[in-house]
Order: sequence, then structure tokens, then C-alpha cells
Amino acid sequence: MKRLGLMLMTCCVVLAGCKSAPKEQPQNPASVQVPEKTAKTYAPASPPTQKQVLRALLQIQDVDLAGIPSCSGVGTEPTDVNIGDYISGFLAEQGSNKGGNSIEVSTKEDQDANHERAWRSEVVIRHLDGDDRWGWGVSFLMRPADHSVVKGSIECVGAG
Amino acid sequence: MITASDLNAYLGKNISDICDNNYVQAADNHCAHFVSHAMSYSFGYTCKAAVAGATHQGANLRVHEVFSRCLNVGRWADKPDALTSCLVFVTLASNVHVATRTMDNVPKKHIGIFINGTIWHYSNSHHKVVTQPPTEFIKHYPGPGFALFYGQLI
Repeated sequence: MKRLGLMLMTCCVVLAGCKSAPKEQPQNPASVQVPEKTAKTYAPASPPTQKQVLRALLQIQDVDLAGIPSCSGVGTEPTDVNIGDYISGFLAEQGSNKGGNSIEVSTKEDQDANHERAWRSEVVIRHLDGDDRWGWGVSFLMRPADHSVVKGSIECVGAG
Repeated sequence: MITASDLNAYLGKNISDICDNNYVQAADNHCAHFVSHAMSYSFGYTCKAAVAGATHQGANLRVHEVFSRCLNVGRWADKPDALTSCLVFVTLASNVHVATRTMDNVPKKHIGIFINGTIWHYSNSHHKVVTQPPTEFIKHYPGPGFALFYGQLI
């Protein structure tokens, strides 16, 4: 009997030691505090930053190459169909640490087809290693108000 | 038909002496650009299109666009003996599809003009027009797998 009492006491001590931490009280989902996202703001008078230009380039990754004369056939593989495929191909070529690699981002003031003010931005992926020298990229207009890309302004740039 | 004498007039010249449209940045690749100015190839993507406000006749800038316009293409070993003037290309053999007359737009590709055993081409590392025999031209890029291809003049 004494032995049984000791065992029961031991179990109680162990159980007490293993007692889980107090559970959080379920909350009403409506009361959960989610940090507010800061809305993006754009200064129409200022050119987009390099990061904003690169973000705009990522936004147009699904644009078909075939519909743009300067982009037709620029993919590094015959199966490349859009801007994302094209840019990925040349970024992959920068995987080697031989020679110099760079991403050139530039912006200048321009106008769209309706003579509205816009930013002409260009991203060029470059490689320089003796005669292995190239620069391929994309040029496009960005609206000053929200930095969206103007449809029909996209061109593929590059030579060689 | 272009002659060796015509091409010798370009020897030693920088692209800024050849292109009136000011597409002359040293970091760009000017091999197709030089060939297209020498041959008056104004199709496809040109220096005129690439430079805002350019007014002079444009010259094509892209090797794969020139390749696909050639009347006939093939491996250098298959070049007809009678073809003593033609375009010459060097790139990885796997990037060229002779049957469809297409070349993938890979970075490592180069073009020159071949006449009677000599190739005139733009050396992007030396920034000028130079000449080489085919046996040297094929060494343009180090590494295995590179091959020469010919293209009948457009």
C-alpha cells in the first residue's frame, strides 16, 4: 500500500512536471493585430530607383517575345517565349565567375505615344571577358504616377 | 559584291569611325554591327533603332538575325568550293540548326566576312577591324564544341 502510494505520488510529480504551458486563449480573428502594410508611394517628379525599375521588369515577365519586333528570337533557347525566359537565359550566363558581370539600370525622361510624360528605363545584363563581350536587356516606359509599365513600350535591346 | 579592297579600307578602324548613328559603346558587341555596315544589311534590329534620334541608315546588330537571312548556310567543311566570298560564323555547334537556318541567341557567337581565305571581323577586345585566316578565327572563343559555319551573302 505504501509502495502504491509512492508510485502514485511519483506519477503526480512527473505529470506536474510535464504539464504543458498554459494555452493561449483562442482569439476572435477580427481582433488579431496584423501589422499594416505601408502603401507604396511614388514621387512623379523623381525618376524610379534602380530597385523600382528591376521590380517593373519582373512585372512584365509574362509578356510574349513574339509580339515585339525587337524581341523576336532573342531567347537563348528556341523554347523561350516571354520576357522572363529571355532574361533568365542571360542571367544564367552570368553563373561563371570568369570575367566581369554587371546589371546596368538606367532611366531618363521620355514621353509615351500620347505625349504623356514617362520614364524610359532600361535594364541590361552585361558580361565582359575579352572577346566574350555582350549586353542584353529590356527597355520600357514607366508611368510617373505609379511606375506601371506602358503597354507597347517594351523593347529588347542587345547586340552580338 | 564586296571586295577585299573594300574591306581593307575598314582595317584598324574603331566602330565610331564606321557607325554614324553613334551606337559605339565599347562594352557592346559590334561584330554583326560591323558586318552589317560593310554589307548594308539594314533589316531587323539596327543601330538606328537602338539609338534615339538616329537618322542615318541602320545596320543590323545581331548575329542570329543575319544568319537566318542568309540564302544558304552550312558547316564550314560543307562550304562549296565555288563559294569564295561568304559570311563566316563561330559558335557552339549545338546552337546552330542548319536545317531550319536558325541560330540560338547565345552570348558566344561571332561573325566575319570571308573572301578568298581571309576573314575580316570586328575584334571587340581590340576595338577595331582585323583580319584572320579561318584556322585562327575558330579559336575566337576558348573551349570545346565551337565550330565554323558559312552563310551565303545576302
